[in-house]
Amino acid sequence: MVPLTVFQKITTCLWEIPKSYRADMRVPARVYATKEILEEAGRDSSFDQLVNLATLPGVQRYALVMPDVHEGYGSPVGGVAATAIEEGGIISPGMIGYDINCGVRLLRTNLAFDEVKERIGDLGTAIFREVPSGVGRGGRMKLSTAELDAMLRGGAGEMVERGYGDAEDLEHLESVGALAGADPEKVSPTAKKRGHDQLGTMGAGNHFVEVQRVEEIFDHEAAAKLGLRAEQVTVMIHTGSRGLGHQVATDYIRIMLGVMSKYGITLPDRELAGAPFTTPEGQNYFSAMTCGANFAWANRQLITWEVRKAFQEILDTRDQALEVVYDVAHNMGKIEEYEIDGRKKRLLVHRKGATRSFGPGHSEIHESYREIGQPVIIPGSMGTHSYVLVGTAHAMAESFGSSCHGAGRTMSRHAAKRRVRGDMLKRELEGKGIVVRSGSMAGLAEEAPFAYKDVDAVVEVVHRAGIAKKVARMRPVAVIKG
Amino acid sequence: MDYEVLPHTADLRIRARGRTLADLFRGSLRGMSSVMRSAALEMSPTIKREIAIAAPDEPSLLIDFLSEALSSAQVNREVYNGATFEELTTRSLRAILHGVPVDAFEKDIKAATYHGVEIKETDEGYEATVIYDI
Repeated sequence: MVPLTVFQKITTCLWEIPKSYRADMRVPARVYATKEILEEAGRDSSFDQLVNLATLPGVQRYALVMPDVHEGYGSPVGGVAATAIEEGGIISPGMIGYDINCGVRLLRTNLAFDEVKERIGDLGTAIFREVPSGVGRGGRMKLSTAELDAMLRGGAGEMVERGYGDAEDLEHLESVGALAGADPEKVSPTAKKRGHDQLGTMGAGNHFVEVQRVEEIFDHEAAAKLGLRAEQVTVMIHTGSRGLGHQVATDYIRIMLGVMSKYGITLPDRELAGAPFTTPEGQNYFSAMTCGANFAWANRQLITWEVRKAFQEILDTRDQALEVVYDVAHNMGKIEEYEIDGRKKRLLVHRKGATRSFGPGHSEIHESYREIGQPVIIPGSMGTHSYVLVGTAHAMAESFGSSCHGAGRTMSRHAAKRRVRGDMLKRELEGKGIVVRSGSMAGLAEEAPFAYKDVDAVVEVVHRAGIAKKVARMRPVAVIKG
Repeated sequence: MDYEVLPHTADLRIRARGRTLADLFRGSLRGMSSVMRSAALEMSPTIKREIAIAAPDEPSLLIDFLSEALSSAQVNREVYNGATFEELTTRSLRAILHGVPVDAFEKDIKAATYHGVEIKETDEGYEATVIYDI
């Protein structure tokens, strides 16, 4: 455990573990947190895991963790580490995690909550029927290997080509819903078998589809650009690359463990195993990760189509087109450019449970949003608020264009299940006006809101630290889980 | 009990024990399977899957064994409640997994991780704790 006395206060929202704390640290480590969040996270191994990130070969400036921090299995959740590509910096599949491009998509309707409140239960039921968990039966789409390979190359765009959505959907996805350089040959047959029938499925755990109402607007100008207004109905989708991504990570962590000694790399945790980005192993993984990322974007695109189908079935109107506000990845490795010590460097930015938050003017942001910054979508825990924020220039200067990704757990699934039964929790949430449709009551209990940090407090930290700016807050009215 | 589920903030931590290395590997497998589909543990196996693994060291061999079983379970929709080892050294194994078909899993285990894994020798034999991403 890293003692709290080691932390140096930089601001009320930012703390630093100096490089001198452990001999193998290459850079300091920084935590975005209030004192309370810092103390709470200090009770598990989160900060030891953060210090491990500061040992990655080629890591630049500092290893970071966001206020939704909690212990993970390599990187802490909320971790950000950027390695210099041209200086032997490594790519670590274990740092990016098993759920490659786990992420969040937000859709907006042109309906006000009052117009649909009588039909929310039916909507929840229809979405539950249309979006399978995929933990049992597969999804609606069974692809041949050639079709799956096309999906791995094309991502959300390929899904649109097949008729599941519109070209306009793609404009507001991070990386336009597909990274370049995907080579399906780099993805194992096992990974393809695990994923071949899982498109359009949400999975289990903390994944969900939620119908929400916009409760408060903080930044009216940015909200107007994003097409958001008070009382509007929105839909949030949280899922990733399913079994395909899990297997890609499994395959490549094993490969990396086998080649580290060849590259003279030693690390404090096997799970962080990696190879220099420019080596054949680094390149092969990056290409396979890209396939996993594209699969996840295709998945969220098909789920968008499924949600639209459910809305059409229940509301039977032609004017409730669900439009994409934005779609972000929060487990990913991205090539980005930053100025380090006065020099522009190409970095591989690992984000594990952290969201990209590019500031205004960045060329990768679609022109319709460019002047406000990239939307950052933060799902809360079940039954609590979710947020839309926008990225800032300060994030570009200070946090490798990164922000938090959610509330962050604070209690184990086991402890949550001991404290509440799923059916009781369902009744409690329904008492608060939140419709719940879930395939598993035990799974529901594990995701109880009290098992998470207060999302309002987490978002307040990134807002006050200036690495993202609050735009709108939503409340759930229907939660659909696998 | 040859395994027990321990607390972890977000993921799943399972400790297994065994008199022999083979018992430890089997206990770890059963621990993982108990989370995937608990009822499958007590059923008579009807399926056999052969696996062969080589790894740089013993802890990696355990994780690779569990990963292989997990991938096979997910692809074939099966759960394995036992294993017989034809060969088990510190760096390689050949085994037959015994299992049953399932229509669905109770939990979607994403992966067995290498995080902090070590195989400890105890007075009673061996012990290992594995963290799974769920």
